Amino acid sequence: MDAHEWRIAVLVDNHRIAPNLEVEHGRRGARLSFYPSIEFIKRSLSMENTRIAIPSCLPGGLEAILGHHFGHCDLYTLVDLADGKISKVTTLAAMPHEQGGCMGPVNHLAQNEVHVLIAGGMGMRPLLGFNQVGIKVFLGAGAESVGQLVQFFTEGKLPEFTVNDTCGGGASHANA
Amino acid sequence: MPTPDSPSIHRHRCFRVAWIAQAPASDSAFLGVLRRHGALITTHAQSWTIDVSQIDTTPLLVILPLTEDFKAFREEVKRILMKNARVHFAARTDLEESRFHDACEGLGVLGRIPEHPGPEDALPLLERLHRVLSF
Repeated sequence: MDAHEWRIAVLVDNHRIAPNLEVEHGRRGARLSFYPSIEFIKRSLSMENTRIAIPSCLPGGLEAILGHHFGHCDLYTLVDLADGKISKVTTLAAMPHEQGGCMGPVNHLAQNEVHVLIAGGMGMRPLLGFNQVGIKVFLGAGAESVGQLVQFFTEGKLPEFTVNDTCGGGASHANA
Repeated sequence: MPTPDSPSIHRHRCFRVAWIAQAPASDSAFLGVLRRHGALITTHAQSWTIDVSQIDTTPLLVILPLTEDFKAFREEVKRILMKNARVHFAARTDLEESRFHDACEGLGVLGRIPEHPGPEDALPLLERLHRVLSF
């Protein structure tokens, strides 16, 4: 256990986080992720069967240009993967929010059963929020379209978004 | 339009506010307005004494000082966010706006109040909190 990171999946209602669990297990080296249902866990554990959200410019879809700000984009393109292939493409309205309200988009995507978010930039707080509701965040850059970004993802070319990549943690504010 | 004497804008529940300050501020008129609107206020000399180990003791809002050297502020906010990103923050500061922006970049800080806030500063903060919670 000491040599490897280990994770515990915790089922919660309405994405309510149980910080007491986090503190207790954090001391023992475990990283907790919180999920609303068993089905959500199953899907989030499989990157080949998952729902990806990508901040996009209008009108959305695979041909759309990426929206750089995860919380202030025109909309999200949702891409469902089944066995690693695109099975469905839809769009989801973005949720407007104001300063300090960046957990709004986090809840919005979690409630729409998103398991993966690919974004060009975001602040530390929403990143930690996504991590805490069980949504994995990947750093998406260098793609000309949403479709190309999804291709990069399925090929395993996108790095996981870390705190060091967040706005205020070294990234440019333009992508906050 | 609510006033400092209006009934709670959070009528349906109480909420916890952690006030970080070196000196006790239990008689603060600012905190008095928060209390009238349902805030259960705990005062802490340091943010690490805030109890985030239980759901029912985790504050909804943490108000902490922000000075010219804002590294400590960022570290304190980050430390709490790592445990619970749903906690909201407000900075108590007289920093100029651009410095405030630099200090809070990416942290999702709700807003700012003066270093020595008066009762008139409470409602705008509560209203902002109410708005972000309504999403």
